[in-house]
Amino acid sequence: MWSILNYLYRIRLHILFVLYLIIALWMLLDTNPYHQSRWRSAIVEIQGNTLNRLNTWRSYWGLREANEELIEQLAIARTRLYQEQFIDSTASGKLPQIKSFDSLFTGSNSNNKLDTLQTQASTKRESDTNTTLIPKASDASSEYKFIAARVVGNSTIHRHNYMILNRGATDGVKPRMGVTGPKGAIGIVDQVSDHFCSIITLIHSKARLSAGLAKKDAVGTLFWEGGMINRATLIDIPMHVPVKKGDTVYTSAYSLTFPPGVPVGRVHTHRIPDGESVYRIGVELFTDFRSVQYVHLIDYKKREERLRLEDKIANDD
Amino acid sequence: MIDLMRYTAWLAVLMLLQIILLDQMALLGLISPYIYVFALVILPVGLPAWLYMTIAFGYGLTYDAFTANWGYHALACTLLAYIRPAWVRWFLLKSRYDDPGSIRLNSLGWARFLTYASPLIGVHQFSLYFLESLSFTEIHWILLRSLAGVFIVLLCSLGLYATLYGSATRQNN
Repeated sequence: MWSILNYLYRIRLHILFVLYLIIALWMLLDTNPYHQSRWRSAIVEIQGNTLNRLNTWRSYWGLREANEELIEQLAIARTRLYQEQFIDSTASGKLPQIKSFDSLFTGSNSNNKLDTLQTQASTKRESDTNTTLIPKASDASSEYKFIAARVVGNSTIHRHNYMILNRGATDGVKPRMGVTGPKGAIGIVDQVSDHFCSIITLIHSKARLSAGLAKKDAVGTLFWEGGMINRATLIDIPMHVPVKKGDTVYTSAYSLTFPPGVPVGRVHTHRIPDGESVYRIGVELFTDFRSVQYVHLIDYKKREERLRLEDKIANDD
Repeated sequence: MIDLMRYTAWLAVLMLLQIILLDQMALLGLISPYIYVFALVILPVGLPAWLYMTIAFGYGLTYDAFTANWGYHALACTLLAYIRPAWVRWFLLKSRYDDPGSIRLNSLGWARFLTYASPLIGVHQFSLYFLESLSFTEIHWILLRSLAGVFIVLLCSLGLYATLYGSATRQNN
């Protein structure tokens, strides 16, 4: 305390100067319109500059919020788009096309979009004449629901690789739900707590995914053998199916976790091992597991129903 | 006591002169000879800094009261008073002046007195002209006016000083 007083006494001249300066400036600004206006314009300028700079910073730091908002919107859009396509394809008497779902992902090309649009246009014409063919929207919406989530933990260097997401049971997350990223399939929900869930990613040694090739009625199993994190193996594709490098691999309609047609990767190598009648296909995965930040959890509403049916069939056998 | 009266007289006379006579003049419409500041410059350097600053502030404020421009000269005079102690220390060190109690024209000589007084008056003039325009884009113009202001203030006040003290010296002789 004494040293503070001592210090203040030592700088008393500066304090006095500042005091007089403030008084003089106050009088100057209080009585002189010209100085007032100059002062105000200077204040506005400083304010503007500061706010501008703050805004730049805020928008930089706000990127996460903006991303989260976008991913939420995308979840709604994906749900809605899938719903529309379901209606369209059912109306035209077809099952949901594998390729059409691809248009929901950023990796899709414009031709697919065009196909989808054409299908929609033709269905609209049909729907005008025969509305009874179209199932109610509620039927379709009860099929798949997308929940946006942020990756809060991620491992890629082990044999058992996991991801932790910031969504849990309170957000409607259940075990065995599928997870997709911006480029394609990511994994399957394993453990669920109230506010978080863990994902067995495709680069987990125990992950198995039902997958097939585009426009070919062949379904196999995709798994990770270890090693490079962008390579997986697809087996059980029969040898009569023509396979070529670059073919896209999608999730199949048999999957209980993913909607059909979610892109997974593309054919990198393919061979038929000696004495076997099925391919062993090396798949280059679309997703870069190290950089994923935002994902969508897919809630397949009819999973329980399908499981019960499958169990019943198994029991009957 | 005599010193106190003398300096008070200087302060009063220059202020009156400034208000009554010099405020009516504006050389070339641009430069006002603010010679009242000369009274502050010649105040004894032995005065405590806080007292000197308070006198300067009050003196500036007095002039502001007559011009109805509150704060304007008070600020300039306070600035002058703030820098004077440091300037005096530096000046005394450089000029090896052996009577630090008071700086007087008679004992300093014209050249050294001008060296001492010009920067102080310059600071006062510059702050006045700068406060008047409040613009950095006209800084060269402000500097020019300040230089001219210093010249005129010194010319007028030293003329007065020489007249008063010159005649006093002659009378003493």
